[in-house]
Amino acid sequence: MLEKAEASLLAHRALEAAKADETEVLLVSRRTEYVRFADGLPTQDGSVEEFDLAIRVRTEGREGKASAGSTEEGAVRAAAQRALASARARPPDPDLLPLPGAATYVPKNDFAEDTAAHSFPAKAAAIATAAEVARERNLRASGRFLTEAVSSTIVNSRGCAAHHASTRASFAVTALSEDSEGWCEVTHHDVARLDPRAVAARAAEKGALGRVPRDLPPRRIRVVLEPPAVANLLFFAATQAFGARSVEEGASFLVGRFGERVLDPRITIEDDLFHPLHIGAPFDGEGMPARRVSLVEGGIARGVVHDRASAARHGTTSTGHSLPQPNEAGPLPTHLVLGSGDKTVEEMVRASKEAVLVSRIHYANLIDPRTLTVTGMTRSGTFCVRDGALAYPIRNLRFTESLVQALGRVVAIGGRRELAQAFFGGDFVVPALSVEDFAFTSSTTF
Amino acid sequence: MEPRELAACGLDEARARGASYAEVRVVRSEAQNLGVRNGAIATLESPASEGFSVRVLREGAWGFAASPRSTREAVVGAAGRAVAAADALSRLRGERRIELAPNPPQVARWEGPCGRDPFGVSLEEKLDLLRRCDAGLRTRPEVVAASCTMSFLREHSWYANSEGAFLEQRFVRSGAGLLARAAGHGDVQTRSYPMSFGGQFVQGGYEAVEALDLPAHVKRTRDEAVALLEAPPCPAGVRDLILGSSQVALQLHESCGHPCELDRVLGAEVDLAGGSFLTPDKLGRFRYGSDLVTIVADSVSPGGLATFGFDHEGVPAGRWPLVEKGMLTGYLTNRETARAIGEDASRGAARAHGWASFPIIRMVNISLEPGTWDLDALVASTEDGILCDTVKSWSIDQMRLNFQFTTEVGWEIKGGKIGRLLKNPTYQGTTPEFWASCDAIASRRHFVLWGIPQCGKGNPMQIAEVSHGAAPARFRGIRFVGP
Repeated sequence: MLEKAEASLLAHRALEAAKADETEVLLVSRRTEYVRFADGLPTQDGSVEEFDLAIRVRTEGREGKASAGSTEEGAVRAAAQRALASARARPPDPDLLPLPGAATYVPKNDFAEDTAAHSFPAKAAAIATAAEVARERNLRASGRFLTEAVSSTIVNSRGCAAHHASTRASFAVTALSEDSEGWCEVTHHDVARLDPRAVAARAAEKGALGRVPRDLPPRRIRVVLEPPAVANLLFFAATQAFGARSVEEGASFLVGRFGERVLDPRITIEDDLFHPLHIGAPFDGEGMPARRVSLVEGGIARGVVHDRASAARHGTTSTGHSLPQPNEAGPLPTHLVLGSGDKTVEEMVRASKEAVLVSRIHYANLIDPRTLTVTGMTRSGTFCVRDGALAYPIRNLRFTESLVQALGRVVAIGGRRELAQAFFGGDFVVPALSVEDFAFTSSTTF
Repeated sequence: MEPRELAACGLDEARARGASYAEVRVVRSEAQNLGVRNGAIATLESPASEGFSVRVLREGAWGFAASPRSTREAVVGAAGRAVAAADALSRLRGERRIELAPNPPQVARWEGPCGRDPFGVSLEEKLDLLRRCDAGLRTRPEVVAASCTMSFLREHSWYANSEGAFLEQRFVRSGAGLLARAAGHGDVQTRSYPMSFGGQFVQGGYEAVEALDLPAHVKRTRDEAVALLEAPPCPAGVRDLILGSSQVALQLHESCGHPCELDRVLGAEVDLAGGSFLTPDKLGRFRYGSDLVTIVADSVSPGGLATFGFDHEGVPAGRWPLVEKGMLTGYLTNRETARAIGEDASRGAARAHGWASFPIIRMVNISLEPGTWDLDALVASTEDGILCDTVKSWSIDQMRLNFQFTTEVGWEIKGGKIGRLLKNPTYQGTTPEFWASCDAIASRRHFVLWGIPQCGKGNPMQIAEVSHGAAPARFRGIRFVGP
């Protein structure tokens, strides 16, 4: 990973290589080290260094972009030339905004030296621990240990200059028996905050509890969704509802409903990079400072995230949620936080006469953007709750449910939040949720 | 350093540090992505990438390192890191060492087809085509978003291993597509041409874009998106299902391609993507589908996105059945998994995304052998059914059994005649029962090799480009999920 001085020097060199009216350089450098394992044995690994240097130029009101996976002078010069050639090939764009100037950024401290320096022998030791913990319960451990250091640098010809370095450590364990699967993943910017034995023990507990699953006929029933399951549902709200473009194009359930109650009054959703569990740079893909944005407050629709272009169309200011420009997706919330309640998962179970406890959701996908109707499978521990206790493990179920409607039938919200990833990517800080009448629509054989 | 020199240097260093096997891949790529959305040029970018990876075996464990710096210092460093990683991890493997199926080393060059070089076609010409289509899609007020895209990729790679292989391969990939999103009546509906995921992609040049004749399909794409707003939802119930060829392609991808990946079958992907119900004890014995169902894997089909001379372990391209007359007969393998199940050689399905990724088992081109039916006759012989086309939503469990798919569009079939348009047709099934219900497949005249450039797998995620050949097919007694 490039240090600040070197990254800044390389970015400014690239800025000078492009002879244009306006130029922006976004340089991301990344060092990733990971080990995957199955049945306690390492199966894949990698020590990978990567650069992405993107040059965006404007000349005579036309914009072009090119990128190089290298910081070498020849590659950068070639990228600058391709960007200029692209700009010259297109007609002027009257809607083009000038690039932003210098800004002040709120610092975010999410770089840990011990994560950046984490070694393969240390990863091997964690995997050995996970295998041992699983073996003690007659389970097999699979998973992945990943550490990563990323630096992002953005500079432009109007004086914008920002740099941020962060780290990420993630340890995931799947504990398998012949007829069950338990899973746990913990992600933090500081590897010292990961306890491999605790991660493995949590996965093994679920794996052991899940043995000899029974069938539960699919139907509407109360559900207790653990945080990883909640993250997988919230992913679709992030990509389909809380960005300005979704509202402009009529696809968001928030269209025409700002200021109205749209979800249960206990539901509050924000985008907040500065939540201590989130990881990332305090600026967006066009160099604007990231801001905390209230999306739903007490169940009432409050707003969406903007980039500079959408903000200009709506007569407001950027919230610092631009992806690297230009892009087709529009601004997106990439650090969602779901407000916490005051219950533990155990209390949610105790308060349920009949329910299904879902540990994790697999391969969910969107059917209808306006209602956020999503279908997906349960995974890694699904349990029948009877009379306030886990009664028995059940075979996995498919759900087909509107997230908008489900978040209007909330029974309880968890008090503890965790950082969880969605199947299709993205980080979410979320608690557990209990929801009434969740629609399970079919089942599978394991 | 030039690729041959870089590779030699990496192999020498790896061997000197104690690797029992080593390979170096060098990849240079250049892409061009163009998109016009709602009258504006939303995407106009030219990414380029160059880098290399070193993969080694030491004491029966893999080590892998990659770098974008094509220097002696970088390749020596990467070889050292790869060996050190393998060394650290070998202690976990103990006596359970990774072994590779034999693969005679070859020295060869391979190049894919390319008629009109897409990078030689002016940006003006490409943007003009996209802008015309975008304008045409937005001529009805209900269309709130139009997106017209093109994408081109040129890749040049070199592969060398410590067994003596040296391979050089080049290909060009081209593709384009249209999308119209309409809003009204409290609903949002989308139509794509010629399929979702950005359109149709093939290994080839700009002639592939010209063959799509995008302007000729603007009106229908736009009008169907608008018509869906007022169409009734597809009702729940059990009916016969006719799938358009691009939806059969998705069905092949999710319910045959992925579960036939032998790394999944053997548990190497269980941490994220999952496992497979097609366990080795089923090979040659398991009825996967009806007698009509023969599914072939190949890396040789002209135009296929997974067509190559050699995979990323240097194994030559080939063609083999995964399912023959309904019975499971094969897997997608690499050298490690082929050895693990006692096969003589890998089928050649090891592929890595770019230069920075560890090669894993990826689908090659997975195709359903066409049948004998004319599509009109297929519809005419269906009493009560729904014709569904174009992927909208897809979800399948981690063993690849229970799936639920929604298509962009459906047409009711009553008494052998196409009837009203239906929105959000959603069908649900279980893989072997679904394929067992296949009672008719359209003929080669209706067969299309669909290219999908974004199949995700691995952890960290890798993207692979794959193709699926399919003709429309009928499935009896399928459960439709209502609104």
